[in-house]
Amino acid sequence: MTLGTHIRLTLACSLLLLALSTWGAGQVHGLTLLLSEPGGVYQEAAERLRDDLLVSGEPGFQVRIQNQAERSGPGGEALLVAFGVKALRTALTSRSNAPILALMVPRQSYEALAGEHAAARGRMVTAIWLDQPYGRQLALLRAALPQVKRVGVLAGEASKSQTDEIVRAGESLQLRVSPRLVGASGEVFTALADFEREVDALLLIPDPLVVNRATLQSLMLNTYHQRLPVLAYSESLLRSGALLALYATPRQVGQEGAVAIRAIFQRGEPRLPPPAYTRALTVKLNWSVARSLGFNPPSEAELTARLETAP
Amino acid sequence: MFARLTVSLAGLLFIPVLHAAEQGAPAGLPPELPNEADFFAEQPIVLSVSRLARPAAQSPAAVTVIDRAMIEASGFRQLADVFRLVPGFQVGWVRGNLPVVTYQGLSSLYARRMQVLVDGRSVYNPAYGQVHWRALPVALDDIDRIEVVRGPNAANDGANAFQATIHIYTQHAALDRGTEAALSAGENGVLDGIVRHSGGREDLSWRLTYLDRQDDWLDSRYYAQNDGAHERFINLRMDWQASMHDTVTVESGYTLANWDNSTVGYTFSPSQTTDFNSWYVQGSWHRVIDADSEISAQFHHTWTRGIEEFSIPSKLGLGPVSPDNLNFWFQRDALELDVVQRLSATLRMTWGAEARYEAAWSPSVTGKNHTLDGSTYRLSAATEWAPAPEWLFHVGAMWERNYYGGDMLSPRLAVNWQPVHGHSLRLATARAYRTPNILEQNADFKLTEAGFNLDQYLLSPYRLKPERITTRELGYVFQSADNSLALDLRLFHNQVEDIIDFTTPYPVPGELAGNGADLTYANLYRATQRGGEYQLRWKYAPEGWVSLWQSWVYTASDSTDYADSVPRHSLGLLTARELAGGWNTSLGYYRVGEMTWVGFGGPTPAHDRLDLRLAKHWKAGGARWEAAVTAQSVLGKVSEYGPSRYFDPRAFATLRVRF
Repeated sequence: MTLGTHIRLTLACSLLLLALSTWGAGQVHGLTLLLSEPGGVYQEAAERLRDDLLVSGEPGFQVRIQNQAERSGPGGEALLVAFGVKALRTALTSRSNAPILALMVPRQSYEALAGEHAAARGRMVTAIWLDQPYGRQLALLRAALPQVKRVGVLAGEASKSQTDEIVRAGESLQLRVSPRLVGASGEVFTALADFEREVDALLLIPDPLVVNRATLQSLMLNTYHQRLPVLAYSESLLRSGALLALYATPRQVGQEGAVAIRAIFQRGEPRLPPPAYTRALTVKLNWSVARSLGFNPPSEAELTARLETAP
Repeated sequence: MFARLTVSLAGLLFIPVLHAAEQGAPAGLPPELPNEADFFAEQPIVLSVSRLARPAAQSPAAVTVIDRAMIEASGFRQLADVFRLVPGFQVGWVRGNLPVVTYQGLSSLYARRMQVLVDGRSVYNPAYGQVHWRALPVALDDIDRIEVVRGPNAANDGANAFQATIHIYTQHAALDRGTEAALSAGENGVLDGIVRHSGGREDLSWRLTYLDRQDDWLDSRYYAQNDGAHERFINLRMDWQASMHDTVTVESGYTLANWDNSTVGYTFSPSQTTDFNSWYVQGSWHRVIDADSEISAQFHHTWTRGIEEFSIPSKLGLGPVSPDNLNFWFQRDALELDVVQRLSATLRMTWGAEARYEAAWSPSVTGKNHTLDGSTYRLSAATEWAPAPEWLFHVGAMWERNYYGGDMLSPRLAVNWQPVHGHSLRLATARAYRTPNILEQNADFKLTEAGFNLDQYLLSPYRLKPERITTRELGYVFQSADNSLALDLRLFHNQVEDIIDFTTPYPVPGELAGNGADLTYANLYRATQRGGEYQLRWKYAPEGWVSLWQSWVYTASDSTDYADSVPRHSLGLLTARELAGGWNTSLGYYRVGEMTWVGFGGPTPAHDRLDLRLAKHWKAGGARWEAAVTAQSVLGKVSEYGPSRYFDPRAFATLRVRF
């Protein structure tokens, strides 16, 4: 091979590579999965999302997993996927202009953060909220324990804005929801005493004032003592003593995120849907508590099927 | 000792607790908003397997649960009375300081054939066998629930779980936070005051209870001896969530009682009184491994003393008559280990080990001016196997080495069959032993003057064998789908052998009066009991419920005393209803058929007792208030122990505030 041939061949290959890379730039979407903390539930969800996207046979995504504390400067990605509140905050304040998809963020925190940051800067941001919609939670209660007619809710400062929505959701299911506002953790005990004989079940909603280290034992012991079945929002609260729980697992968060991302990039340029509650759901029963209280709810599979087919 | 134990457990077990609230919300958010850690943070298992009441359909034995609602509706002031709510139980008041509680009779004024546990601590008197019910530092307001296992249950409840086991569970200190004060006053000198405070800080909860209670129990028109009683006690419970999996509970209490008359059973002078005090401390550690598995260790120490002094006029003119007291003390120390393990989806196992030391000093009735003591060791194991959802097999046994009884093995076999949800059958057989108590084995009670034996009352010349019970039973449990109706039916056959009691006068050389030892302990009798009992609970409306129970027992024995010691029929009814405006009413009716308490009790005619209670609840000034009036025995006077110790109708009022 002469030197000239060699130069020509090198030039042709370079042009071909350039052409290929230019062609590819329109098709491969760079994603940064930004984790609030390394490892744990964030890693589990992010890896599931990445695997679902890459294994699905669509070559159009390039996925990078990054801890939010390590992020400095713009990442050049087409979409920032924030896992958790800390990651969302970092994403919102980062110098990137990439649109943001927030996962694993409760609705209230999302609304507070997105309102605070995105509005000012005009960032495209959406979320799949980690919480389950109240209508779905109450529908589960109704399906699992048909004898329940009156539902108590304990709300602190953070969640008092939610109570009207919960009451309305109850009305559409013929459930009378009685919210009790607590101003401090200590008031949880008197509020629980108020519930005695006034409600048939307790719907726990995430509010750090209501469920915390100082109240958890008392919450579980008092409700058991009053024979009040509790619907909780996490698996660990179920194990702690709730009768029933409805939640999305980290794995489900990842799976749902992957589906959402494909939809976002369906037409090439990212288009963000409005924020919405998660559609993923896991129903779990604490059979020891159920049996001890004398309840005999349908199986988890049956309850899940009923919720999934609900309108 | 107790402080060292707590500190060392704390150091050993502390594991940092991860919690959402501790992690703090991210900067930029108001701190109280929820974040994802609220959904994913690990939480301790609060309702672990030992905290959950077992469904009756899965139990290897018949269990009656008395909950707070029943205790409140009953209007009872005394713990002993609460057992009127259990099918087959008899409660008799020998005097105001001496209630007797027994299951299916066979009892003298010392009911000796039950295991009684307060939060796992055995409280019967190892010296005489009975429970000092009035002196237990357990306020009715502090009780979470009482579970009564009817029938022998040594495989689970350990030594002395012979005729029945009473488990009294006090409330976890994290329940009912706040301060409560109540005052009761009424006829027959009823004057009770109680103050309870429950507080907490993060992982630690505590409750302190102080009670002052007094009354004059029996009607002095019929019962000539004084029987006023006054006791004060203080009790502390602390619950500490030491880590995600570990909890430590410490309880301690002290009782001081002043009772007219004797608590031992011998009255020598009208002015005889008993000064009684008792204290205990117990510490337990629980590690919850998962919802089905946990390990726990417990230590407890109890010390009790009774001071009864009197003088007996000289009989011979040679000097003072001895004894001039019936003083006693006893103590119990125990170390226990219990493990609950799920071995597979169908197999669960519990096992336990205990070392117990018991000591008593009672020179007047034992004739020995030194401490009598001994150690007991036990190992117990019980397995539950559920080869199919409708079947549950129980195989269990306890091995025990006792200082008097030697080696004993108490097995139990049971099967639950639940062909349809809500209907369950139980077939069970069990054996248990009751070892002789310290008095039974060592009695030597005599009046002496200047070295002469005036009269020999008690003697234990024989080496006693433990009593043995073998029970077979068939049970049926019904629970309606909405939990409003529950029925528990039990048919049983008991064979009790080697019953320890007093034999006919025993020759005693040198006795000046009497015809030998009046009471000589020996293994004397056997008894066969068959019968049935049921309990029914119906919550007919959210505001009202009714509980009804009956018991029929036919007893055959080679001793007419024992054959007659069990009422053929007994019935109880307790009902409560909430009315508008914060009013509550309740009614308790208790009927016990004719029976004869063994020993000095004498024939007790069939009797009916009706109690009524009316209460009003309201809120004012940020506090909850309750005013109640309780009327007891409104149908007229009743004698529950012998023919003439009358409990006359009485009423008292209670005012309670909680803030």
